[in-house]
Amino acid sequence: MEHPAIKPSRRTVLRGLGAAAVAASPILSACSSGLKGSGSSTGDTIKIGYVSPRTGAYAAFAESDAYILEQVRAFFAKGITHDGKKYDVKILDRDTGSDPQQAATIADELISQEQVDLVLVTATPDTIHPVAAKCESEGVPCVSTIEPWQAWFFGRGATPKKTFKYTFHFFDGIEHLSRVETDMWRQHDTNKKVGVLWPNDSDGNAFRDKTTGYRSQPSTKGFTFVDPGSYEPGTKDFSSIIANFKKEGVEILAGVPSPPDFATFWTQAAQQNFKPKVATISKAILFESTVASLPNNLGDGLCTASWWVPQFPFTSTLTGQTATALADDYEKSPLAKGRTWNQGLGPNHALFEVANHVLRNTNPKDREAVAAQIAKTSLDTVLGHLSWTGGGAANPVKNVATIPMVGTQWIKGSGDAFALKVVSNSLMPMVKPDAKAAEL
Amino acid sequence: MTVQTAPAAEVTALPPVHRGGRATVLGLTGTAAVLLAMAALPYLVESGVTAQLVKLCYLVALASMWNLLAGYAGMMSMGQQAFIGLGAYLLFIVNDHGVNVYAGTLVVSAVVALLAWPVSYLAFRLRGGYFAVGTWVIAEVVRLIVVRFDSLGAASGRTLSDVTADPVLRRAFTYWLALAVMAAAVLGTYAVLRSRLGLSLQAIRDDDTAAGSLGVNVTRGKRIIYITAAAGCAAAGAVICVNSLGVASPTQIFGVQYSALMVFMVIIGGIGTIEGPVVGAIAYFLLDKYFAQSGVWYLIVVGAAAIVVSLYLPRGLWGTLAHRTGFAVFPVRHTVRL
Repeated sequence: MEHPAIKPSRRTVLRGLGAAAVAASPILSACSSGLKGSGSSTGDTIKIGYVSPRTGAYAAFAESDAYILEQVRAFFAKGITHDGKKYDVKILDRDTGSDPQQAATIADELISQEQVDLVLVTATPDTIHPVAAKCESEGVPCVSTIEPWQAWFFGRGATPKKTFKYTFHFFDGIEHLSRVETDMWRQHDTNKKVGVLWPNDSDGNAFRDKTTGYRSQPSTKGFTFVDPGSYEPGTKDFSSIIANFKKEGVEILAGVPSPPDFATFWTQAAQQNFKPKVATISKAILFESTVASLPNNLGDGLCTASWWVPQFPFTSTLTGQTATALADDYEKSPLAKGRTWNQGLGPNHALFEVANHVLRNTNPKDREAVAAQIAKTSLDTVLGHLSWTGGGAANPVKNVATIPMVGTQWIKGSGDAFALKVVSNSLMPMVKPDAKAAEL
Repeated sequence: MTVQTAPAAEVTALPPVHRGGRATVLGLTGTAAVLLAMAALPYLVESGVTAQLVKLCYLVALASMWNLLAGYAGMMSMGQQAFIGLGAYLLFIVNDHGVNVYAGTLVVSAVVALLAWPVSYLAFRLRGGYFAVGTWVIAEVVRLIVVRFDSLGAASGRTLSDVTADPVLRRAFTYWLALAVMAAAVLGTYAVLRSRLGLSLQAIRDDDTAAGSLGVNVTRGKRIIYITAAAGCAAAGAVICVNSLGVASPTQIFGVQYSALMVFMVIIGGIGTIEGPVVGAIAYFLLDKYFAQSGVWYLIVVGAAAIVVSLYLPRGLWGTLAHRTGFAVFPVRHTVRL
């Protein structure tokens, strides 16, 4: 038999547990305080991380990276001076291979091993979102570009009330696309019936959204939309969509298909005799190489809204080159390997213009100060005027600076080359149109 | 009548059968020491190092799970990404209901195990190459269902709503979570293979018809392994999700590249051994670390490594070593000493 006196009462057990908890809490806090952080880098070298998809599916966006990096490394070779203190600048460029998982790993490495002071990231949600998420949570300032701002801002869970502290973005949005595209539609005499290709992916769903998407934009008033429903990216048979467009008598085609999907659709449309009068396609026909690869010169006459063309009357704050000179010098450079300019050149160059401006105007080693500095930046770049302050159309939400667009059309020139002609300047009257829009 | 006297019964002593013996003790002690040392790393080194090791941990876990499937139960699955993706996506749901992501990982792998049970009835109707394609199709179907939910970010991916805010603590917790998942995957495999089930699995691997005729319940054994591997891959998926603070794109997390990666690691390290996947994961991790920035050359190096190993070391790095020396950290074979 157990002696009752030895049996611990509930009270003593509780008391004991309480004492243990009291004793444990300093141990616990000691445990967490013993953890090693990454620490902010100190010293005289500013490190800038540059993350881009140099290989893989999105490689075209970063085609001009080698040239841009050579330019900016030469520019930053003399260092940056702030408050009488001179800093060396080191640019660490990383390739994501177009893989979001790799992008997250790279962000980890840049932030916790290299202890970068600023991260620049470019091209598509798959590259930008994992990197920006890391930067926001680790408190490292980050500037990004080449992704519609709605996808960047709302797609990452922000609201006008709940904004980001460390991550900033500059690019166009759905409102610019719809203004420019509808302007190109109005240049033709049509029945105002618009067939749309909105796939089931992040862009397609953002465009289809009833309240913030394409159809909610005031500029689309007066047009009738024929939406055949979302298709899966990678679809190989568009017959039913084409038949639907033909039945409804669609004369205008628009959408955000991926390049391979559009190639399939457009080839089948030609075979099945679907001929709209005007086609404004985003995303799929940004690059000359994709347009030229469409069979039977089907790329001739396709329209797209462009965020940067050499015709822009802007100048780089780093090199003093005009947009035209930047494109020309790129094409002449051996690093271009004989390729023509592309739309990635402008925004990717502008990323470094923003970096230079921000790091010069605040203590570059203070991450909070750098983030605060981006939030009040207003700068004229080779891409145009960027402003993260002042609100209005140019700064619709706290972390976003928008850029306008021009309407452009691919016209077959001599040989196999296609040239991008400016045909609509409704948002940028300072850009002179090259030609009148031609019917397909 | 002569009384026949039985000849003095000669004691026919069976030669001793042993299974590791001292090696078991040494192996487990060594493993425990390595795991303890790894667990202490957040106090010893800067978080940059542990951040890199998170990737190694989930690679080891994934490779071990595929090895369990293909190396022991003879199931060449090309669709484990279904469970990796489900693990990541269920973590959103669990996390939205207020469970922290670390405990959530455990919940998620239990739920995925439950889901994998009915799926196994579907997958097991197919064999060999058809099984591989079938599992891949199942993964695609799961992705197509998941992207129908707007609350899960539809086709755009989404971010975790509630993770530890303090970056230093979060990194340490993420690392410990990854380490725990890796330890569970490797030691779990070891425990399964030393059990009665392990013996029947090895028989199934060598010839499932023969194993069945000897009284091994082939389908039951395979089903248990299929469900276990699903749970393990889900845990790895949850780690991937926590590590990148969400899923950037459903196409990536449900991508077949995860299966290719698992096959690569297991083949390089040595299929059908417990240590092989660990060695293979380390080999891939190092290749990735030092060549990932070399553009297409990276893919060429990885491809060349796979070709060289499968041509000249068909047993894989560890398999070859173990075959030549008889050395094993996790001995599961019975050996007869004559």
